This record gives sequence, structure tokens and C-alpha cells, in this order.
Amino acid sequence: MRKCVITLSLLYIIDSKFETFSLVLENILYFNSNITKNLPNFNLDASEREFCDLHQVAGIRGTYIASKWRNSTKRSSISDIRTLITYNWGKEWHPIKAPGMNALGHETCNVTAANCSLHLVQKYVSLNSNVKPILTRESSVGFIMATGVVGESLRGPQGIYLSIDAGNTWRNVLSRNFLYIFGDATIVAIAHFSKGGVTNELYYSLDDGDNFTPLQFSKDKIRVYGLLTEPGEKTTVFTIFGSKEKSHEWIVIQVWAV
Amino acid sequence: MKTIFVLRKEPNGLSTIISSSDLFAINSYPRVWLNGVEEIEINGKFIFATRRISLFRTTTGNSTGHDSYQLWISVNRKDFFRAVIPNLSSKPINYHVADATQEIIFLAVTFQDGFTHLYTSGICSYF
Repeated sequence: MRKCVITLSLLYIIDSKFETFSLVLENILYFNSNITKNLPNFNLDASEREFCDLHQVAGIRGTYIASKWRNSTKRSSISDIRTLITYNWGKEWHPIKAPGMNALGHETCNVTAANCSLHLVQKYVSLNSNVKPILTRESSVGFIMATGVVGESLRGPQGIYLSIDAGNTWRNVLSRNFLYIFGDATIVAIAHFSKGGVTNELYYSLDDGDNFTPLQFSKDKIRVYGLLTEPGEKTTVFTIFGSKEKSHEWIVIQVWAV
Repeated sequence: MKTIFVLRKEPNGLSTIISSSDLFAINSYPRVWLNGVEEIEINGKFIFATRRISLFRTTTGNSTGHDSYQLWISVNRKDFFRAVIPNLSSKPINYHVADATQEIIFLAVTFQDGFTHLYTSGICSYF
């Protein structure tokens, strides 16, 4: 039994509150180009010199998602990494409840079993493979969209998962890999790992991810690098940037979801 | 009043955090905050500083490996205090502030044995 006294006080913040630290999670995923040379398959050219796979869920106080190594002896591949979530500033950590069905309506795994939970891509996997990490925004409180894997670790077929209740329940909304972004009551996703890495199709949802409608955004297929909205996301204008398929030439396409 | 914080490199290789509110005017002295500093990070209302304190040195001035690597924190630009990070097994070799955007600091501490553990500010006890 563990007891934590973390006094939260917004009105009276006392410095001494920050003096003593408490261990909340052991063996987390941390990268530092000078220290942790033992991370498997990590591309050292990545721009980040130091990071830790911890995501603060925007707009939800005290809610964080962390990647940790499954056991203390093995740190050799992504099958050694799992995802945990806390709703109370790290006092308690839980595996993320896997949805029982995948996007195609097939059963995923026995969701009551200990080895069946949802694991989410954060910086480590994202920087290595260009897969999009967890997305949360203050403007979309409670929404969490992420690339994830159902099972006992981060190894497995990836899909896009969405929670609209701050991480309590999840749905597998799209199979495979997508780039995704929130706008004003709109979600836009683009499959950017389709054949040859080029596409001219996006999927949008106006009903909190229940249904995604395909839309052809250009005549020719382009190599999509990213998706943008205005800061604050009080807009339904999305900007897709990428390049031509055969040779590099920047292309910027705006999509108005009105 | 605007204050400039400066990390002043000292002959021993470490640095001292000093500040000035009058652009280091000739007739004034900067305020000295903390010495023996390796790195600092200003993050909102917090200033984090790592400090290496040599407990013993050989006659040639080299470290004997008995250094103490510490994290010091200033909140709202008040005096620095040393963060107390309980650990029984290994010596800390790196501090990384994972999140300090809310009321609690999330700190990733890497130890000599290669493990990185996550700590939060606040007091916990096991019973």
C-alpha cells in the first residue's frame, strides 16, 4: 500500500512543495545522446538530443501517458516497451484499456487479460519511423488521438486510436498509419504510408471520429510531409504540405472543411 | 524591472549563476545566486540548475569520483534550494525535467546503473 500526499493548491503555492521528490514510475523510456547509447535502433541523426516519452494530456490536469521498459533486464527492442497512463499526477499508473474490436470489427485480444492493453507511439518510435505521436490539444479537451498497438507491447500492427474521454475508453478508428490533426470539431487524417508513400486522399470526420469520409484533395498523388492548422485550432482550414512524387518540389494544399 | 540571468564560467570549469537588473552597470555588483553549476534551464517560473560538488580532490586537483551531482531549483526567481531525490541503490548522473507546465514537476533521473526513473515533486510514503 502506498500513500502519497501531493497537496495541490492553486492559490497558495509554497516553494517547499518542490523540495522533495517522490519516485512514481521506474525504468521509463529516456534518451540522451551522451548517456543512453543503449537504445535499440535509434537514429542518432534525430534532431532531439534529449527526451523522455512522457505526454501531458493537454487540457486535463494531472493526466500523463508514459512509455516504460517492461522489465529491468531487457531494453533491446520495441517489444520491451509498454504504455501506462495516470490520472492523478503519477500516483497510480494503469495500462490503457484496449478496445475489444479493431477498425474492421474484428476482435483484438481478450481485453480482460493482463497482456492485452493499448500501447501508444511517443517520441522514441516517432523519431525513428516518422509515425505520428500522441496528439492532444487544449482546444479539444478530452480528445486523444494516437498511433497505437494492441497487445503486450509496442510491437505489432499499428492503427489510429481515438479517445474522447481523456484516455478512459478508446476506439480503433483507422487501420494502418496516418498523419492526423484536430480542427474546430473536425478531425483530418491522411494515410501517408500508402503505396509508394504518396497519396491524394484524406479522411475527415465531423462526428468525433465515428465516421471518416474519404476526400480526394488533388488530382495527382503527392508525398505528404505534414498537416497544419492555425494555432488555437479555431478553424476548419487545414494545410497539407508535401512534394511532388518524382522530384522534390514543394506543394501546399489548403482544405476548407465547411 | 527586467532581470538578466547569466551563467559565468569560472576557472574551475564550472559556472556561477549571476543576475543583474541594471544591465550590469559599471558601478553595481551582480547578484550571485549559485556556484559550481554545470547546466541551467529556465522553464516558466522555475530555474533548474545542476551542480557538481567535489567532496574530495586529489593533490593534482582531479576528482576522486566522490562527486555529488545535485539538482537545485528556484521557484518564482527566489533563492535556490536543493531538490531531495530519494534513492537507495545508485548515484544520479543526469536530471531531465520531463514536464513543468503544471503544478507538479515531473523529473526523469538517470542513475549510474543505467536506469531512468520518473519522480514528481511532492511527498510519498510507503507503508
